[in-house]
Amino acid sequence: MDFLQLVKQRFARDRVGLIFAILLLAIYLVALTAQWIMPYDPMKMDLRAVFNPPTFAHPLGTDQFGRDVLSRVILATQVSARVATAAAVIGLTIGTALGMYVGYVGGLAESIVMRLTDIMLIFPTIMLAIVVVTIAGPSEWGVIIALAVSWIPPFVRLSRAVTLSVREELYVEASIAVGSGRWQVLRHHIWPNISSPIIVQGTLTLPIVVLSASSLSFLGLGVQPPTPEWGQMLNAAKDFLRTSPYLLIGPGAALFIFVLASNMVGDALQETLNPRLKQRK
Amino acid sequence: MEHKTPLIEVKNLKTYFRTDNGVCRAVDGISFSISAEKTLGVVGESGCGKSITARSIMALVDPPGRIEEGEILFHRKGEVVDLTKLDPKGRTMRDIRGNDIAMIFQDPMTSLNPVFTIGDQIIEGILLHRKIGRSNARRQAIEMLESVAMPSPEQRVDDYPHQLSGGMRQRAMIAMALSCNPALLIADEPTTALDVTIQAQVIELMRRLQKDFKAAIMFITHDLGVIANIADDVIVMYLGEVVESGTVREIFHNSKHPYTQGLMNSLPVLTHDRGRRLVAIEGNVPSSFAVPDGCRFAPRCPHVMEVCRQRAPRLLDVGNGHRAACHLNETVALEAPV
Amino acid sequence: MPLFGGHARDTVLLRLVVSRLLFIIPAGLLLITFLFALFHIIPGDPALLLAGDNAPAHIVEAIREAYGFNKPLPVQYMTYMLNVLQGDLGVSNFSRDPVVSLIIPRILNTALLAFWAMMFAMVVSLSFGCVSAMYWNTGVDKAITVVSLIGICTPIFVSGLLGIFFFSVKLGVLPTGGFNSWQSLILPVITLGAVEAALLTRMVRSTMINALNQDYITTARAKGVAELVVVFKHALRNALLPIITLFGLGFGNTLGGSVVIETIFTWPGLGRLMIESILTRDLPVTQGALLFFAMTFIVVNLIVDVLYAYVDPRISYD
Repeated sequence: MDFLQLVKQRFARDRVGLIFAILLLAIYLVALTAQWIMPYDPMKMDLRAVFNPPTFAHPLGTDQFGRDVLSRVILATQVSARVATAAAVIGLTIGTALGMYVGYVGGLAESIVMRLTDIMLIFPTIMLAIVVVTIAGPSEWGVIIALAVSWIPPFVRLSRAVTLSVREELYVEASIAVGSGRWQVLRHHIWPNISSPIIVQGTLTLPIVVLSASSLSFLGLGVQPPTPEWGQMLNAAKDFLRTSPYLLIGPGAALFIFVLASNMVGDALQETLNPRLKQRK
Repeated sequence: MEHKTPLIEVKNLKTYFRTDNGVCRAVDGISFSISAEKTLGVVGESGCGKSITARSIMALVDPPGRIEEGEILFHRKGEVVDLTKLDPKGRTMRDIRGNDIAMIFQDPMTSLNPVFTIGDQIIEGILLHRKIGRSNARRQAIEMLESVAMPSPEQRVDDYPHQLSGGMRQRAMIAMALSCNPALLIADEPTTALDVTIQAQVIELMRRLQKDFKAAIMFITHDLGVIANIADDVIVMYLGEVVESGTVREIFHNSKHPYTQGLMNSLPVLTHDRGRRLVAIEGNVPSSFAVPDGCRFAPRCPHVMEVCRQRAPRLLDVGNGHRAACHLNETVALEAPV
Repeated sequence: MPLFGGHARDTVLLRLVVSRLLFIIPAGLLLITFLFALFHIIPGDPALLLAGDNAPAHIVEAIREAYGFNKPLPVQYMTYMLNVLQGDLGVSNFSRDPVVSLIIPRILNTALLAFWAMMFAMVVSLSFGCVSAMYWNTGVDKAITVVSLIGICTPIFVSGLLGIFFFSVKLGVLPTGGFNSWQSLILPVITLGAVEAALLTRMVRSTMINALNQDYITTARAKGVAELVVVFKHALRNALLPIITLFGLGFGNTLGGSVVIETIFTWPGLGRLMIESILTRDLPVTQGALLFFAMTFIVVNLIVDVLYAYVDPRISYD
């Protein structure tokens, strides 16, 4: 894949981008190994040790139930990574498949799907997510479905646009002329052109999905206690701002770093795909 | 040498682009002059530095480009100004642009601002340099559109660029450029983006306007046919240098540089027999980041000699104000004053 | 005297406005249909849903009668539709107050918040975005870019809570929440506006850089136009086209973000009401709030479409 080589080249030159890529991978590593690296049991309450400010034993302090904040942040990393990645991947897969299909066959199906997509794009992500959660009820799966659904339209739009332009190419006509079926054309010709922009768009989507998921949990509509989630932990922290402000640090910093790293990596990938004019004309 | 009044004298101009990939010597020490009320044709392939030369005169070179060395002497209403010494964004240079020296560009669709009417754009130019009221400026704009043979100028003046055809847009650009009666009009490939029939009309228009407005023209193009049509004097550029200069007769009938000869031989001629093949110049233009030592044309020259690869030839006088930079002329030439 | 700059354009634009306005009607009807569908999509007996889990049986029956849940679907649908169109959105499960009376005062508060936040965001993003583009790739540009990046990556609730911590708790200058005075506006508006500003600054910057790279900018400079005029007249006017669309989307974002802001600052707005109603399973209030939010988005979308057509002289056909 040409794109993969370009990406490797890019990160070889771009130190800053490389650092953020490594950071992002590190976060995912933490998410994968959370069960093993947590210093304490994140659910274990110790009512004799509530609201301890950060110490060497508890680097991020303890919360209102005496639970170790660091361990909870680590577990929350796993939760957030799972939710965000699942939502992004599901939205991407369904949206891309749908967009490719209607872009290729056109006709009534395309009109209907594009109309629906346009309507959905009028409403911001969080609104769509709130509607879905209203129906499905507040839960982790509710958030995943809600965010996946709200991210289908952009991917439909993107993959349809690419499909339309590739469909007009002569080599596709030639391929059909020698008898290729719809499926073969989609797989051999359309897909290679779509894969790079979709991946780039997916990486750019990730930070927004994480923020949306955390916002939903912050509002109480997402991951429910006692399962820790960054937004949810910050919601709890807001009630103790006066006495224990340090409770903001762990989840706040973790959220910031994840969003920053995925943003930077997404940017770097995007620039690799469409190198912007580096100089003025 | 014919006695002409010099309007612009370019002396040893060097404009370089310093980038992460190295130094691009876009213009590498060129000297020429433009005479008042005459047309100088600037010929060369893409990338030879013709546009950058024009922009250097107008002080419109975008960073990372910079005029590194040289002088551009502008004989302006009695005094002589060195344009390289002026602040490109400063008052003086802005007074000169559009007013004493104007420029038109290759693609009139993208060179005109799509959200303003052509009238507004012309009027803006007028009001920048003349203290007359808006209604007077509008009247003048309509007059300018008349002089460039724009059909129904009173209506067209309120049109947006996308409502005009390619030829009409270029006329509008010319009207805009000439609206303040500049002493020099620089035309950067003004006919390249137009259909051939429209090309002829626009060139004819420019010839007439030159007489009416008494302007000098610096006409940049890669099309030798157009040069033959409109130029009085010609300079031929290759890879940032002037390789030959002289009157249009001398260059066309008596070229003394293999590159110019190559350009002319690659022109299809209708009157010759069908069997005659087009002779293309071998090879490709090298990158201006990696300029060869010695004569820059040596790698592609059919008459290349050993000395060509070792020593760059200087611009030498070969008679009748005709100069060429080629070792082939060395035995008969005198060193021309710079 | 032509209104929009030409008689032909006048008719075309007028036609566009009318067609878009007409679009609102079916959009609204579709919306109400969707809200009706919620009764049956949400798992459980709709009458029970509306009555609340602890309601006595006769209340549940009364509700079933009122909404017609024992009648065929089309009849229920028509009953609901007609009620809504007459302004009856039902009553809250808990307070038994009419939904409309709960919602109206809240709308004004949310509108105030969103309006000022958007003003802030537009002013900041236009100025910093243009400056960034003018001084492209210099220290100024890089500084602005870094600050915008931090703004984009900081979640609203984090910056909101930090704001409360510094200005209310530590410095005591501003109130922690509620809507008691004009000072109560400051933190919520700036927090909400700042996030949007960060996003928009980046986009304004790239549209301006795009515009400044166009050929007509060189032409303007070649005429002797001063640099500031080049940027703010020639470039900005062109960049305005995509920027208007961005601002329209930004307003949608801002309304979405207001939901979170209202929660943090206990702002008496529609967003907080909606969230509370979802958490307490007060369906009629949720429906009412959704109706207003959704209609707002549709109207904003329409305004942006028309504005875009007005600003672009090239649009001659919808």
